[in-house]
Amino acid sequence: MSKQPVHPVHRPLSRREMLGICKCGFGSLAMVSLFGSLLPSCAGVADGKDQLLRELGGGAIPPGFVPKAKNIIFLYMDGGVSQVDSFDPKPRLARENGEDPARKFKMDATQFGDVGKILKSPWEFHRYGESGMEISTLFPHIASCADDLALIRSMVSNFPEHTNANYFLHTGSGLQGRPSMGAWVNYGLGSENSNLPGYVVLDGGLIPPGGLDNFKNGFLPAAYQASLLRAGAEPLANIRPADSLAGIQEEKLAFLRERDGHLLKTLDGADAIEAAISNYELAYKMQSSIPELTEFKTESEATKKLYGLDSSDPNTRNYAAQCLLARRLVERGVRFIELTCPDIGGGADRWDQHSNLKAGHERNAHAVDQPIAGLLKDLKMRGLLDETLVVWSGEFGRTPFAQGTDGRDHNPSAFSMWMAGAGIKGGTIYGATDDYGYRVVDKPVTIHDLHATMLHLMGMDHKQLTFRFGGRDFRLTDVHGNVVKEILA
Amino acid sequence: MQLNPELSLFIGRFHPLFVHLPIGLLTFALVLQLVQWKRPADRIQGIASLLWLLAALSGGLSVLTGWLLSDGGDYEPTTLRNHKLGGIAVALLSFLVFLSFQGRKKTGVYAGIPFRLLLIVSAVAAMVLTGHWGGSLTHGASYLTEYAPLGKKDTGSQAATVNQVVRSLDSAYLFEDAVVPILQAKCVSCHNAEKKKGDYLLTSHAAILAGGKTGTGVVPGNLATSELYRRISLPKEHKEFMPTDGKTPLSEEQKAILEWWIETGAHQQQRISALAPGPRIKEQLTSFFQLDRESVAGYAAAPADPAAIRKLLEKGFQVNLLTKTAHLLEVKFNGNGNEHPDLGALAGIQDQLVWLQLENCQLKDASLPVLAALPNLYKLNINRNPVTDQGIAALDALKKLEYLNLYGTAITPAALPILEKMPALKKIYLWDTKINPALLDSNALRSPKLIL
Repeated sequence: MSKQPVHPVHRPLSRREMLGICKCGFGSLAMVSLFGSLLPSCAGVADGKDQLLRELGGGAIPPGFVPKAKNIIFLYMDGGVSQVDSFDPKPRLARENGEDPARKFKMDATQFGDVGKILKSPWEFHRYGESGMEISTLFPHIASCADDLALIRSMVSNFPEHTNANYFLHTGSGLQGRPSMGAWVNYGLGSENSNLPGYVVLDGGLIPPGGLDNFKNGFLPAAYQASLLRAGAEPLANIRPADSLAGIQEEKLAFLRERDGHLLKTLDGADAIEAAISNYELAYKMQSSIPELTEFKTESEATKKLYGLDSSDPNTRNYAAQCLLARRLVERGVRFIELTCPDIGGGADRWDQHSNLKAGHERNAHAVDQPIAGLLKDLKMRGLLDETLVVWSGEFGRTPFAQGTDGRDHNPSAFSMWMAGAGIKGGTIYGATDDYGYRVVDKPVTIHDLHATMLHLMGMDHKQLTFRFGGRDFRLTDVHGNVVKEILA
Repeated sequence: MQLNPELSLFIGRFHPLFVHLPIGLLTFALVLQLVQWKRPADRIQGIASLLWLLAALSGGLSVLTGWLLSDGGDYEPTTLRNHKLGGIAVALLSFLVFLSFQGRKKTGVYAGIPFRLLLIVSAVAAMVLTGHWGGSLTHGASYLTEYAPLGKKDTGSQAATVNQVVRSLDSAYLFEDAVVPILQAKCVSCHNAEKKKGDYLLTSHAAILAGGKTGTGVVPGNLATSELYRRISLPKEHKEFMPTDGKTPLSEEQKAILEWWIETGAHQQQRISALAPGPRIKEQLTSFFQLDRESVAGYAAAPADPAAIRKLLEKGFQVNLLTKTAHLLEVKFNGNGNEHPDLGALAGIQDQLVWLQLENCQLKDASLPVLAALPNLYKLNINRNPVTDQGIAALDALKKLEYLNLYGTAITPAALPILEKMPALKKIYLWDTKINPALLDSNALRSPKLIL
């Protein structure tokens, strides 16, 4: 029996192919009717409306109102900063230092159960700025920016443990696998810069508990996940082209694109292939855009000094480089930038001081304080603080009583965070905790409220930003969230 | 019936609870009657008889509570009279139907069926009419037909909101576009021709001013003697606070707008712009008309020409859509220190262009007059370019410009008087220029809008 090669054109359609082709036809019809109304009646007008929208880098849902912020820099304080030692002064702790907390108030179970005595803050608080905001001596540099901060002292989280609390803070759900807020922002608004990813995480050395799932796209298209960059000589693996001649690489890429294009056609535009093609393209563009981005030669000495790049503390230098990189990313139109903490080692893992609070918090604060203040000042001088929202937060707070003798345990019932920049009313203090800083007593703000506020400042209604998955519409804020209007300018 | 008026109202307000009972019972009794007609059975007769009795009793209760309720309200008198008589008729007719069943039981005669049928039909008809009148009293006569798919629409009624029409603050009328929609949304459901609570009608300018039982509604220019304002600004717990009965109170914004309308003379036909609004009320009105959501400083444009946008993209500009319906655009060009943008292409979108960022792109003084011809710019970044004081002078033509970023340019203190003259400017960034803070301190032009 001779086996004749069959030319694709003459080969009859298989059942699978037939179904595949038909499904797409129906699917796209349904899609047009679903999304047709969502496309903005914008610049595009009648002809090639969606085409032009794509060219404009438009996201799934265009802004609902004029955005105050165009970018977000999220300064993630991994491990949970102690609120009573940083932004929420509690004189009563000093008065009752060493007393038994169980006789003072009702206590929840703690993570490690090793409940000690009431522990006063080792740091003093002073008033700063015209607003007279009280901040501890842990953060002398950030304190000098007090009038730019909107401080929320009434944050609450749902989880007392790092991994779930991290997922909650980053994705609005305590479980693994939901899209991160950076992915949502890019899904909603689209990227401003076609040469860089819209969501960048700067790796300071510590990947938060919960791992990279904190930065993933979840069920959103793969293009919206975070890209991890390091500040330093090689910010991204293989960022230097392996081919010595640029022409050779371009030819290789062109060939790849052609082959993938064929495959894409036979597979009816499979999502994974399309994502792979755009990944190659973006990776190629990044080989030229990233070295330019991470090259600090063009920065003046004064600027580098402002951030603390000349510090004797290597952790300060590390975080300073991240902060400066963050500003440069903002200038290049990257929508969402998250900074992770440096690994300062020496028994002080993250801000998570279950023991040795004083030394650990001090070293962590020293690493981030000057760079953050430098970032705020630099953004302000350049006019970028008008369009950039800076968010500083951990995943939860710490207990006002000791764990053991000199540490503090996790406390999701109260913590402090602040925002500064675009659309924020500087010098505001919102909410309050009880006399011990243990629980929120006034105007609690949930993580959902925080997300709603962040999306609001980016020009999006958190209730409108939805993605249909598994049979229902999902939101970053699930079914919760209220914009904290009182801190908005 | 002489009851303490509060007690009588208290009992009266159970009226809505009882009125629906006879409606359900009567409807069910009617259905049973039809079944009975198809295949007669004694069991059904028994149930039907009981239903009619219950209908009569609950009808009587409704009449009683309704009577008490009507004492306290200001309802449209004709409809109220019809509703009262109708209610009594329903209760009486139901009772008569019940009696007609009793008679049959005793005598065992099926005679009188046509008579009973007549009674039943009358009872049901009376119930339908009474229900309709009752609905008209509570919700207003147009309630039922307002959203009817056919027939002519009364465009002046509650459904019409004006927010979709108002495109800019300057062209809006205060009374027609703001005051009327507020009253429509919060007050007219009780103060209309049918209901007219407190004898106060809020459906025309004259009636609003005239007022009702307790005083003059609105005294132009005088908040203190305007009953309308007094009622809406009382503490929520106050007995006389309006809107009453747990209905949604006016928002602060709505209150402020009514207040400003009364203060400025309660005109019927006056544009907002003619009343010289201050910054605070301007902000509130902007928010009320939702102009802050979709436009920049109350400005909206027609969609841009796609060809013009394509041209910009080809020339290396980044174009971003700022808002969905106001069609405003932001354009960016980052030359990385050596590329120069082709500014001529911007003219094609001059109506839509409100934010322009031309950073670090060798922009020179000669190019600035091109920017000055973009009338709608409200935010302009030309930082890190070799522009000088001469160039800045051209920007004088940008009357809407609120934000100007000049950091890293070659401007000197000589530019300050020019910048000071620009009418809308709120923020100027001057870091890394020849203007230093010390100079600014000694300068009489020192102003909070300068940021170094």
